[in-house]
Amino acid sequence: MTHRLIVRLKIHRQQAGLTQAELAEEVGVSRKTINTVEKGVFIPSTVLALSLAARLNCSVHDLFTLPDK
Amino acid sequence: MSTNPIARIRLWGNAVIIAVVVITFGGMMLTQTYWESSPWLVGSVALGYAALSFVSHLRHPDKIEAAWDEQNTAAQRASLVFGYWATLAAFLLLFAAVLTKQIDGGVAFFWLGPVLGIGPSVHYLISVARGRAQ
Repeated sequence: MTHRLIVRLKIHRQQAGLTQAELAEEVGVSRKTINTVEKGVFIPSTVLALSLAARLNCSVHDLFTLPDK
Repeated sequence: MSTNPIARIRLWGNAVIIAVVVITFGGMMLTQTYWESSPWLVGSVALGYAALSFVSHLRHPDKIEAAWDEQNTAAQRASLVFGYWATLAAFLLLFAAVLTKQIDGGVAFFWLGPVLGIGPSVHYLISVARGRAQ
């Protein structure tokens, strides 16, 4: 079962006024990881997804969704 | 390039190991001679990198988490898997060469060394170049 993930991390990060480096620092990952997550290249773990959502004051579902079939 | 000192040392360490192995083993292949000091050189560089990496982790404990985040860990794991398969493939090729008496068993064992040594590093550097690790 393979789905393409829709990622809205960049929008929420920019709304929070954070750079990739700042968000990376706050959730304890590299800036490169934030970059690849935003591009949909790297699918984050549940823990990282929850950390990102908590920092950006939104739900994981706001950041990542599956496309409608 | 990453600003994380641990990631930077990891990147350069892998690159230097590849360079030393390619230069020494490539040189031996081109000149068809055995350089007595080559294993010592490669081993020293590898141990030096390991020591430097260890010290960098001690000096920058606050940077460890980001340097070994889940994407970098996944890239590291993938590079080890690649190293395993590359070594297995090289072993089978060299084994066939030994069976058909094209090369001596000792020589075949000797040439497994560079594949085993730089396989994971090559894969890791490719991951960095593709933006999948730092």
